[in-house]
Amino acid sequence: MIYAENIFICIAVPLLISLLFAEGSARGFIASFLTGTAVCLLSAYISGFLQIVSGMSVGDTAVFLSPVVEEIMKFLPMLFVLFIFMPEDSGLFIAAIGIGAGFATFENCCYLLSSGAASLRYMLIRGLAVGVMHIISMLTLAFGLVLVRRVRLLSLPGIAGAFSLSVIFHGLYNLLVSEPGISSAIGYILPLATAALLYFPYRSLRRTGVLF
Amino acid sequence: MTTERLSIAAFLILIAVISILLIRTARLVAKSGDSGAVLLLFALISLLVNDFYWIAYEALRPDIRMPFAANEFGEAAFYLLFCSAVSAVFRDRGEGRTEGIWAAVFALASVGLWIAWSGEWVQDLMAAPVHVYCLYVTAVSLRRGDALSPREWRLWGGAAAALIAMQTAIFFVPGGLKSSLDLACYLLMFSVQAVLIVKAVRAIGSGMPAKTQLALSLGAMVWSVSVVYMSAGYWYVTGLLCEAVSMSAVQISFEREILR
Repeated sequence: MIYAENIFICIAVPLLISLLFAEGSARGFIASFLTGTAVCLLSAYISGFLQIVSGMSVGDTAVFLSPVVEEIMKFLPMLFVLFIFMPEDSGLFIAAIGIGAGFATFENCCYLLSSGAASLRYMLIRGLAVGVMHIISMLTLAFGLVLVRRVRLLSLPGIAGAFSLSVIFHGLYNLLVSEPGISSAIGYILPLATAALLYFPYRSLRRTGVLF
Repeated sequence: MTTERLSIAAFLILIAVISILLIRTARLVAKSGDSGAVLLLFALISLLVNDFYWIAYEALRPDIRMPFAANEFGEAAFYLLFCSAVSAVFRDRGEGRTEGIWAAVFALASVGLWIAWSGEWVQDLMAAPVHVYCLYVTAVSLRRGDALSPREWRLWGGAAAALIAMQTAIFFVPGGLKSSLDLACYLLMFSVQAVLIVKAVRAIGSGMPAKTQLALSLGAMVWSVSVVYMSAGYWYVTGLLCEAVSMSAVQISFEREILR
């Protein structure tokens, strides 16, 4: 058993203090990172609750429920940022990366404590696959929101579409890694491959001025 | 060949078609830098990921019926992003709301029938707003793109109403009549599908305005989605192939509209 709340306090307090002294986009990133860790903790509570209510196994919960719950929890602060602060495109990307990185970091900390840090292979998988996956799903969401804002001034269907894309990406990853063998290998490669695929159009769209 | 193998083959064809459309759309994005094109690219990525999810699920858990899962979101992502991209093309004109509302009524009736057939409340209720939005955007686009004559509107509306009436009647009639009604429904659905695809392909071939081409192609595609949801067995496989054809027509006409 691990004490997730204690880990959260341990990570959150230095970040909270640093918020007092940071300015501009650095402050935005720290706040988003902190939010990411908090929503990770809340997601774990909700997924655990739904697992008990639905009677699903741990494996089935990870495949069917967790992607939806976790993406909803990451999506809500993004909506808050989008509608309350109405940031520029770059601000939206900073918020997305911060929330994704905070979520991945907290999840990794909890796994490290529950499973140990002795296996380098396992650590690489946690860092390069799961960690990157949360950031990519958030980047996909931010990308979608920026585009929807460009085309249709934030229509509800467009926002829901961007959110749904992040859910299916997360869902596919969880499904692939749920079984050992070739599917797991494909699953572990998926986030990094997607990161590489997203990087080039991202740079190209920035260069041509489509994105900020 | 069994229906299951055929449907996997149809899914593989659909994946190949989506991949080609994805490459074409990526080139369009590079050429035009248009935000609508990027949205279309994201929509196609959603559909591709969704189809991969299906195939991965079939391979990893062949004996377990899929409960409410992430793939519902994948389909929703495609239709929502796709219709957002298309509706942005038609937003400069104001008419078509009446047709849109009738299309939404048809969508709601269809969802009611899905629930009655499958009993899957959560999935079908979640799909309902997406389906309503898609059909609304389609009808509005057809009106704003001047794609159908008044007579064709009446015929399409009549066919949709007849379809809902016959499918509702299937629940109440005795066994022998049930299979005849079922066959009549399939023939009606696929006749409308054939007409819509032919109209879309002819519009693309004859150089009609790009918006008209796009509206007709969208009509064919969204109808094919309804057909797929309402079909089983070989009809389902045929519906998937119709979806692949009409999706290609949509991409071609969208590209023409952007580059116009």
